Amino acid sequence: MNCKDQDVFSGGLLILFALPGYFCAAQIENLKVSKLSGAFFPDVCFTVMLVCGLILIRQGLQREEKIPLPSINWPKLLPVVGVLIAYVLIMEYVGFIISTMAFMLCCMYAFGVRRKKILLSVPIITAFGVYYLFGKAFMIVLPGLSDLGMFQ
Amino acid sequence: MKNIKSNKSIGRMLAGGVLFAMLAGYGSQSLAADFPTRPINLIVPYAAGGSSDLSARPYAEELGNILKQPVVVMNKPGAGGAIGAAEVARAKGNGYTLLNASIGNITIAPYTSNVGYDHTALRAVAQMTDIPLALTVKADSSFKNLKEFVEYAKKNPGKIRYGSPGAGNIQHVTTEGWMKDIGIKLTHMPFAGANPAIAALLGGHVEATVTGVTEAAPHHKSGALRILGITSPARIDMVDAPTFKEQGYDLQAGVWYGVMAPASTPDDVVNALAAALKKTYDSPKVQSAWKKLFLIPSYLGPAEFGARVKKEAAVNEQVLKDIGLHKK
Amino acid sequence: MEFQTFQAIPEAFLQVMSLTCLAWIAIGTIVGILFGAAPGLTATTAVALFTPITFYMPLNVSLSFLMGVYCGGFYAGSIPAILINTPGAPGNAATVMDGYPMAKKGRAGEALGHSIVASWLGGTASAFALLIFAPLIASMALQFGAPEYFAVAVMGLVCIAGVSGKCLAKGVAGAAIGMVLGTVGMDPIDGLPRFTFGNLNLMGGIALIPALVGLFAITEVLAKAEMIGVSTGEEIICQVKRALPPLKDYITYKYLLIKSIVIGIVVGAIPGTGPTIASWMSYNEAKRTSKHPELFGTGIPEGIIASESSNNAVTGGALIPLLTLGVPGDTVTAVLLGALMIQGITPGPMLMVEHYDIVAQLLIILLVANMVMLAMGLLGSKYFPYILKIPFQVLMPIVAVLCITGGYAVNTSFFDAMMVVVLGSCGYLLVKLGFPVAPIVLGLILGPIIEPNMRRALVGEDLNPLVFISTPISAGLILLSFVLLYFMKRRG
Repeated sequence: MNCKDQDVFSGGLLILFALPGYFCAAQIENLKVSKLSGAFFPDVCFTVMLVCGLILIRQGLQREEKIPLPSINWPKLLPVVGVLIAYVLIMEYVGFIISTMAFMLCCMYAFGVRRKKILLSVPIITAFGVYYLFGKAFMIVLPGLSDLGMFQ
Repeated sequence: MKNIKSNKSIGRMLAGGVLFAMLAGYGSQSLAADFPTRPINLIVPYAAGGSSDLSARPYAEELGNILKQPVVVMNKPGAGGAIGAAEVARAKGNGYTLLNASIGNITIAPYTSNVGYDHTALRAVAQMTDIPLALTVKADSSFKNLKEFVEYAKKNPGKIRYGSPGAGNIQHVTTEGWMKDIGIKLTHMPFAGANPAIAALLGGHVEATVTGVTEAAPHHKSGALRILGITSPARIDMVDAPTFKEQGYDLQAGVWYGVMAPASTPDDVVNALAAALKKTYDSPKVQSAWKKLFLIPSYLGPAEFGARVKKEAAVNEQVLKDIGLHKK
Repeated sequence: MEFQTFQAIPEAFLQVMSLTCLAWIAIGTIVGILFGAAPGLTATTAVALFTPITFYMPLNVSLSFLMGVYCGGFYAGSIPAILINTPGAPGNAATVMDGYPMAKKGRAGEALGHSIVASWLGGTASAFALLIFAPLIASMALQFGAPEYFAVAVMGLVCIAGVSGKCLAKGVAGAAIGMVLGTVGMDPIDGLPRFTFGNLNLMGGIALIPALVGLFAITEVLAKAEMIGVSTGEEIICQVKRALPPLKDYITYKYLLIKSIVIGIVVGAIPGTGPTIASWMSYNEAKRTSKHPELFGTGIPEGIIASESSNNAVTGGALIPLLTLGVPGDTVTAVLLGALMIQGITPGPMLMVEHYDIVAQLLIILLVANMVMLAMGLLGSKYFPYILKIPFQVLMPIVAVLCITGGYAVNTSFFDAMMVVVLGSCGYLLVKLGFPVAPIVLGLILGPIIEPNMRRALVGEDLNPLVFISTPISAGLILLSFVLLYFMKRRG
């Protein structure tokens, strides 16, 4: 028995997701007025996931040669995920332009850009370009500094 | 410097009229005198293009012209209008964040789920439009009037399926309340909006619909559908259809749209806004835009609008309890 | 009616051929292309945002502008789909399957050329269908009740088998994951919250567009992030020798085109379905009937042509129920309904009889808008691929900014912007484990159609499951689904 197989792992993951799913679905209030409750359809989906999970595990165990788990290069991946999350979080507080410039700078740095000219010019062009494209052409006002409460 | 500024404020306030000065006089930091000094955000808690959005856009532009500051419409849809309404309820009460409120998100959503606000978290500024509901059947249906409809429903409980724009909407809640009042039982079929419900009625997949009169009127005019009753106190110009009242059923309801502000907004700001909104409301441009969209203009000032909200919230909360949709 | 038709068309033609109308069609098309190409923003957003501008325009100008936006927006979603693996709108998701691999092979210009020509063919054919078949298709669309919608969605589910790649179980599980995500928020029947854990933002549900952008674009950004410093050897060479695909291709693909366009028109005309289902169905059908199904997904023109012609055929199809019944076929036409009403026109059966001149104008405008779109698209196909000359270290952060901004802008919601990142990151892990993305997206789209209609149908008939085969249309569609599945299985 080798748990390292990709299919066995995926199947296990599906089952691990479906079981608490049933539990959450059971918490959904059942209205007396309708004959089919809101939990009915999610339960169907979780059952499908459960069955697929079992099939995958069987398939993975029966197969002679195992498919190895994918290798994930966490040191390269996590910084990018981190700046993405930070970007959305700070945008709410400092507005679109500042957060975008900061994000572009950090993200390009994480992607390995080291040329100062690019690191400085691209964020400024992107931030102002997108801000005015959305504001003027799309008529969508992106969060600005005034939402901070600075002018209140 | 400070003195000069406040003198100026008082001067402008007096010019604003006796009532205005009386209400604005006490305590608050005469914000209204300079109000507004920057753009105002009008939150529409539904998607662009929906009736809430269409009711807001015509007056937002005109209000901006009157206040000499742009009024920016921001769509924040989701959870039946609760997400946008909750945001305004949490906002600072300075008049710069306003809500294009409607009956559903103020008098129903707070009682069906935990949305984090109720109508007391907001204060009424002005009602702008009010649309009665319409009970509609197909033109070739055997129900010629409300009485026949009710009699059939009494004899055949649950046989008539009625489509509504969604579960827990005012159309649904009002109908359930009415059914209970007169002792009939209809089967509810919720759709994702009024238009799909009307389409199902046209195709014969439901026997009736309860929607705003806006969506039913064009089909009534074209002769495809028949409006059995509308829930306004008297007949309306828009469509030639009888009211519930004249057919002997005491049902009055309407989908209203109006402006609400966070509860902490000072009186003088609310009054300045209400005055500007009244001017906006009277503009022929805005009136004609609403009429073309089948929205019925109907202005109420802060006090009357506030009273209406309070009354309807209480009524709807009771109905929701009766039909088991009230949050636990 | 026949006589009226022939008389009204030349008059409408002269009306539309004014400089003002043509200029507004062009402006509309540019706006539509910009919205369509920006990940997350769609033709729907564009039409909704620009409708208020048209409040005070004359009718023909207003229609010119909005139809330009409508057509341009539907097409342009294929540009980012091909260039950066991100469909600009849900209807272009199927274009990613072959468009992006084709661009990776250095044939971005060709892929874009196929997409614009197919879009133009689809759009134009559907405008003619609107002219000829409108009353017929409209009466068919009204036959669709809950069981029929359910059956159409089941047919959509069959596509999962076609896009699951090597492992069907993973595809089906992916669809189930998508459907579970689709149930988050307000229960469409009972109106009570599900899986919201008391969070107000979750009550609004997981919006489709942020999910789509996250699953396609952010996964791509993350995949590139992992390759930092690694020479991949798959540098994209931009060859843009010709943007206009050879005409003989289209003669070879004539049946493919006809099938895809018919699917687009019919699915578009059924209220509440839309381009996403149409384009996936066409893609799947193209693959099923192909002589070389194994080549689908590797970057072949058929995949792009099937998806894009069908996607744009929805434009005319969706107008059919709007104009003939006053019932909008999808979200864009729901917004268009408001735009028409503000002009004092109420779409419905009477429109065709009383104001055929307006309908005729609309048709001419649609045809002209499609021509303008073709011209702009062909010109663009020469230059858009240069975007790929930007090194990925710089391009990917820009893509991320556009996606997150687009995700925010649809509903002005930071929560949606965060969903782009969260779903993108989770999606990336699933992709790494061999789950295909397409079924997750399909589940997310089909779930909210399947569930309410299934429950509506069952509740209406006392929970009798035979309701799904009680009408000829739904029985036929379900039977057809099984037949398709059988043939797909037999061919492997």
